[in-house]
Amino acid sequence: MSDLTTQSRDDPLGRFQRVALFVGAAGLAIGLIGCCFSRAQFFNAYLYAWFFVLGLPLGGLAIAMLHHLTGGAWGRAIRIPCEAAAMTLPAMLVLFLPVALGMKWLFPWADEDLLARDVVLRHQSIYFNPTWFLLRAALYFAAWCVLAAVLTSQSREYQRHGDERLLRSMRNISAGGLLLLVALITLATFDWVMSREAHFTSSVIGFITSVGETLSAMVFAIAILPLLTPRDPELREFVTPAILNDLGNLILTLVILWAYVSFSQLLVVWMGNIDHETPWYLHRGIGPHATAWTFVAVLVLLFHFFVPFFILLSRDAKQQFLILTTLALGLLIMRALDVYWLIAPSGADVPVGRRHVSVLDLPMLLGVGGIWFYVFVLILRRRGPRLVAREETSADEVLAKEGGGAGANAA
Amino acid sequence: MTDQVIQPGHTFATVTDKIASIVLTRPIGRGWLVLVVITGFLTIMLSTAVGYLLAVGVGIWGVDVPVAWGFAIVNFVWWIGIGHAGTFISAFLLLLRQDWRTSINRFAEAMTLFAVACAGLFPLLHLGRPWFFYWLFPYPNTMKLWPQWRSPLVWDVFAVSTYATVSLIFWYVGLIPDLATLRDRSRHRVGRVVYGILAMGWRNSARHWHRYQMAYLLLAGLAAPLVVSVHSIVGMDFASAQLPGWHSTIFPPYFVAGAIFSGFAMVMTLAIPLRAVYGLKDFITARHLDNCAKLMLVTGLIVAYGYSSEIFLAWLSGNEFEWYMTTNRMGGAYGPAFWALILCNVVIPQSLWFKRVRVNPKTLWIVSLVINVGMWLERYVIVITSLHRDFLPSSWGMYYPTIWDWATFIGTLGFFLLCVLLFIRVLPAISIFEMRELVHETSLAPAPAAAEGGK
Amino acid sequence: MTAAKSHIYGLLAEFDTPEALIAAAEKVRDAGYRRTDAFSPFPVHGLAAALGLQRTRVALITLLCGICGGLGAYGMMWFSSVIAYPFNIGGRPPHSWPAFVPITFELTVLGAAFGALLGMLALNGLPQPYHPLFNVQRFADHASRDCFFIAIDAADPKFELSDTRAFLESLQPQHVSEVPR
Repeated sequence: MSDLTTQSRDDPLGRFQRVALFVGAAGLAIGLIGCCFSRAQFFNAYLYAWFFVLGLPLGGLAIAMLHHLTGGAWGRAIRIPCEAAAMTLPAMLVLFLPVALGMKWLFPWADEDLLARDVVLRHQSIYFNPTWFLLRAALYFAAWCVLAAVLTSQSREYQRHGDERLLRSMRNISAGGLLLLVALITLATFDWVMSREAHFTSSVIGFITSVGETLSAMVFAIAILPLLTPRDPELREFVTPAILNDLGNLILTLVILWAYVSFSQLLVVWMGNIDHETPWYLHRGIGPHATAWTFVAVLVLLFHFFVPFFILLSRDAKQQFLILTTLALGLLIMRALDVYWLIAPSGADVPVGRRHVSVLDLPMLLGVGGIWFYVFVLILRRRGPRLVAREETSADEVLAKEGGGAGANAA
Repeated sequence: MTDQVIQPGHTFATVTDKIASIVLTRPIGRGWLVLVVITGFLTIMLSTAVGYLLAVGVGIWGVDVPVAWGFAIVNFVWWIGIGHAGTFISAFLLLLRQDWRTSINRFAEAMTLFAVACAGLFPLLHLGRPWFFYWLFPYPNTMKLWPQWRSPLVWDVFAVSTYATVSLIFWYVGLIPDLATLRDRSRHRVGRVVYGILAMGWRNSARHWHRYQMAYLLLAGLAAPLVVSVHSIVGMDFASAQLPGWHSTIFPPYFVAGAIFSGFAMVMTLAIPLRAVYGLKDFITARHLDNCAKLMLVTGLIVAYGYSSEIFLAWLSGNEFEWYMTTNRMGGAYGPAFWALILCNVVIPQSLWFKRVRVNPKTLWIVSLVINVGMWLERYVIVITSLHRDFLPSSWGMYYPTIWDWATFIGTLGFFLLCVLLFIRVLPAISIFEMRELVHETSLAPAPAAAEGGK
Repeated sequence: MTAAKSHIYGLLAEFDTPEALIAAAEKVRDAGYRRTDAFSPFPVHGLAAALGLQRTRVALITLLCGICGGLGAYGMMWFSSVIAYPFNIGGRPPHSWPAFVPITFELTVLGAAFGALLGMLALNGLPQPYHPLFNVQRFADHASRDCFFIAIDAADPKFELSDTRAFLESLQPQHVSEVPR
């Protein structure tokens, strides 16, 4: 907090934080006004905004754990913001409240009339019912928050003292934690996304969200680098073309992976052509007739895959700070559009093929996003002025790399 | 010590001489000869089985309606999955700059080629009239017909043939500098001529290396997504159908993970004896075993994720056919196979969480054998249990492999091992030039005094 | 001098470490020699820059071949199922784009892989059945094992047998030898 006063004059992060708070408050206010007119529109818009924003802390947690496991210089440039993002999870739990209140307008299984008419929904109601739904959400958040808190506190401790015993502990937590994280994101996606479309089941959808959320957090952490470098000269020097190259390759990998899992689901559903699966894509503009959602899908295909793919193939492009951070920002916007395409077209009150777009969608996104960014910056500031994570190499590994000290075992 | 990728004391000269000597000067051992005879015998058994099939037809196999995809498809998927680890090791790990891959990539790539050769045999024979295989390709024909582009079986043709071609190119490009080394080191005229022709006049020029490295990196960049696409398409062979137990959106990525899982198991199954017999413990160290074991653990967990989400969603979907298939898979006629696969692929691999299991060659070798069996059973369960109970009870049936099924399968095992045995005697099983690079990078190199100390 | 120049290919200097090779290559480049080459038993990082080599065109060739493969594949499938022989299979439209993606991808990779292989070989001038450097016994024995070489081509405009030899000697090599044609 102290450096807020000393640096406030030319501190773009502080300026952005204030703007975010203002935009967030305004967005939520518009949402609340809208809520008086249409509960369904408000809650659907809210779920979208909340679910997209949730991807940033969860993805941040995933990146932090991946980096503890694999190491590499790239992670040192973005891990502290990722950990700060993960520490916003308690705030996301508070922001879950409207979702809990709006179940009736969000999920077909929470709608008594639909439930009475639909045999499959009745079958599913052992699993999808309000009580279990809330209990599961509590469980997911408890696990995520504990994981984020333990890992971040150890990482802070390591940042301060460089104690090697912490390395082992962080790696062990990350190995199990990543497993738990993916499993819980999968179940959460079943709850919050898949169950909105009655009868649709997809075993890969949890994988799609896991990859998408990791990508969201990755591009977010890279997109805010221009806000962070003025605060920490060490970070400015650390982000060399070599680091940018690695970060660019990681974005490229995640973009390809996202395209791959998304297309896999589409292809399996398209080939199978089964009546309880195809509505998912028909609602999303992929089918014999083009709708407005077709346009969104094409936009996502072009700017979430092809354009970044070809830009990131070029070494010259990804090694430039300005190009890479701009591209990351663009991809973050495309992530928001992709999640919109994922969430908005289905809903409880929706007879097949109607509605879904609301004037509240954008205000809600800015509202939840703004508030979240405010909290994120608060947490990031508490981490102190240093933004480059300490290198995670133990003495053993240094020895092994230099090849010294083990000659006795040769031959 | 366990963290090292090459034992200290080696120089450019010692790694060159040691690896090249296996090919050039080492006398033929009795053990090697015995194995060649055994695997040669199995290869003859394979030729007999194939010859009889060509003469009589696929009726000699156990396939019939409703289980028209028997051993042939099980073995196809199993073999091609094994091949994928080779590409994974050489391409992905190169892109990730994992220097430990160097000493196992050549060997793993060779394994890929032989496994793909075995894999390709099965769908070809399963065609019924293999001599018309070229009908699968688009070519100008008198009836103006084209392949059926909407069929995943046609995608398979393109995927597998592209995969075989690109793997061969990647392997050959990696071999060129080592062929030049063998050409320069060989003392026999025949060796010099053969290796000389294959090396194409490579002279270690910096200008050549410059383009070579770019080409090699690009090939790695191409092979990495290729390997994912190939097994995804194999997964699509199943998932495209509407059959319960096959139609699941997770199939493409989960098949890829399963392929790499079984492939690493095969790499370990072969590399552990190889390093013991040919004294390559300096190059294939405990660190390699540890890393491969970790990758097996990760891919095994992805596979377990696939199993559980399939089972859970079969229940959640409320579809009676899906749920019947699931219960039948677990408790029906083939139930023991299902539980054996869970034991082999999910339960036993959890022992790899312990470092003691990962770095002990014996335990790791046993676990990798178990995984090989488990992954074969997985494909068996997927193919057979899904098919043998159709939607209509009137078309239910059982599948029993015949002696010819077994002869063909075991025959390909022999053929594969024979290829591996011949390979380690005629080509360097470890990439020599990359080992020199590794020696340089780990700065163990110059000190001429240590030159003779290595071995 | 010209007579001497015609029956030798050039001069070859031998070094024993990659570091010495890079240092020597930089001096050769700075001395203004252009038709030079270095030889090392493995790719040495920084050697290309030391020799002043340009970026290679292998990547561009690979990209173009890949694009040709992909467009060709998609075009073939589109042509055959929309124009040449439209046929209703399982109620799918003639232009079944999701089903065309896998083969398009495969043939993109195939085209690009051939581009990388053939592009690299063509630019390197391989296969090459004969090269004068192998007339030097030290080169034939050690270039693919443990020694590092620099060659200056007699065709280099700056090549002058005795001067160039003296220059190479000044780089403190292990040996300098003439390469007969």
